[in-house]
Amino acid sequence: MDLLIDSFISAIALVISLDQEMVDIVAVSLKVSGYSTLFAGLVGIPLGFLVAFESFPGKRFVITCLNTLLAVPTVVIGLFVYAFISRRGVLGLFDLLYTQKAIIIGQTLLIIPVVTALTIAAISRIDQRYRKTAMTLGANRRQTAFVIFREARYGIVAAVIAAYGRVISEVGISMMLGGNIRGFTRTMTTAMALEYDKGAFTLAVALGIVLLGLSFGMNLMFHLFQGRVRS
Amino acid sequence: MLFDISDLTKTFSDRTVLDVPALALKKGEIYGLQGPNGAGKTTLLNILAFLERPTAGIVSYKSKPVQYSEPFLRQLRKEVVLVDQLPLLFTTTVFNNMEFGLKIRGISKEERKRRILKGLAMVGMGDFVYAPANQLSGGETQRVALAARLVLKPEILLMDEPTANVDIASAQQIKEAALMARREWDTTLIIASHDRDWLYNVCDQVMHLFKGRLFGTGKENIIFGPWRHLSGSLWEKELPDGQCIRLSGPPEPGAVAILEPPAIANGTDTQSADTDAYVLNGIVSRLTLEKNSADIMATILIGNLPFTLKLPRQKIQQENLYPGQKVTLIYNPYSVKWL
Repeated sequence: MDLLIDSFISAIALVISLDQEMVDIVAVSLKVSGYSTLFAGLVGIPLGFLVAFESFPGKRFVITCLNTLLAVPTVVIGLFVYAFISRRGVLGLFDLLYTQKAIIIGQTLLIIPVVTALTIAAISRIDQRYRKTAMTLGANRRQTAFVIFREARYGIVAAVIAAYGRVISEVGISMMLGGNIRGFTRTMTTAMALEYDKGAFTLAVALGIVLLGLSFGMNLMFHLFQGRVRS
Repeated sequence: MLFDISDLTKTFSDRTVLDVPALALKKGEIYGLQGPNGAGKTTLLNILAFLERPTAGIVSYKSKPVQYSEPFLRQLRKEVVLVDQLPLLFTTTVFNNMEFGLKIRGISKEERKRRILKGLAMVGMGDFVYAPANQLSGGETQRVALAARLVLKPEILLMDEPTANVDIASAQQIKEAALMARREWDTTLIIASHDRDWLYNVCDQVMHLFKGRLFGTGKENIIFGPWRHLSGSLWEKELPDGQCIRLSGPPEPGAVAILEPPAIANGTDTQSADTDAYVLNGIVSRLTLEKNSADIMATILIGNLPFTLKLPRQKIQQENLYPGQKVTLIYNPYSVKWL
């Protein structure tokens, strides 16, 4: 118990003093998670909108597949991407393994289904009468789609926030594809795992506090946007 | 003719919800559409608004058959607009909602603003120009939705129960604004409503839709089963107040009867035993002036079942009819159609 209390007090001091190593680790985490969320958003939002807005054969099957992909473990994605970017993989010549780009690729693949599925849910929640209203006012398909998108905007932002929360706290992909290289690919979660292995809890607890703070911020924003959706 | 419809049907999962062999609607008229819930009113309005395509049949608009391709329909939708029963406004300001249809039609900025201010004034919402639309009440939403259509100066304005979910003041403003559109731009109005008095007051023609089929003028009396066999071809149904209505030959015990309007028969001619079976006692509940004739529509409650009959003014004066007065109705049990 003393160990935990001592670690916690030291960790608070570390956070307050903005320890350089901790700041570097947090910066790497925010950077890779930010890029992966951006790329996943660029793919997932249009894909989700298309699936939700259009009618096509096999639509339910596609949605079921996307929902299934939500449960894929991070280590499976790590293994899958590793097979492509390792030296023997088809993308081996690009030397991506153990770089931030590798983490970004893995994390993007991890959260594309999250962004897509939650975008579909956000669009599907929009009252069908919005489409009817736009049409009776003379809107074409593009204008009608824009109306639906605008009405679902808070739900879509909430989807992106949820996806960001997913990647900032994942450890499997960062460890397998990033390699936990200090000052380069060490993220908050991989650093915490390493510090735990070393039996040095202070930095791990400090990063845990930062991570929890970020998660709390994400959830706060998520609920804020969800609330606006409901209202 | 604006609309010419022939052999139109609409089915959902093998269930026919609309079956209209023929319907012609003229420009500049006001049409009323009456019928119980599920009669097919909304489906018919959606088809007339080019928002749904019929399963079969031909819909001609301005003498040209409608082609159900998106670019063609979009042009038609610029002339024919619908106000839903529970309209939605986009989650932005009232002004932006009003501007949406105008922008689509390429109206200039100055003209857009002028029309928006006028449109909102028409429905008594002039103080809400920049208000957030999602903070309006139901009645205010309905009025803004109507104004957003009126500013488009549509050829045809379709209204689905425009006054069903609003307070009396909002309903009055909606009614006045719709009629103003007719006066100012010769807009054809097609109004589905349960408000019989309003429809008979303003409409050139009221149509009755029941189980997806158009019949009569909306003044017919509809009586639901079950029917109990009495004798010969006569069947009867007990009304809530214990009286029985007797009619000739339903096709099945659960059939729905459409009875020709009965006659007021206050007097000695209904007292004989022979006519007892075709007499009902009720109370006058409402007298409404019909728009195109000097006739009065009288609603008589028998139990809680309303019967409607059309009477000349002289008859009203002669019988000294007023709401609350007890009357005797005489009807012909053979003047009945079955559904």
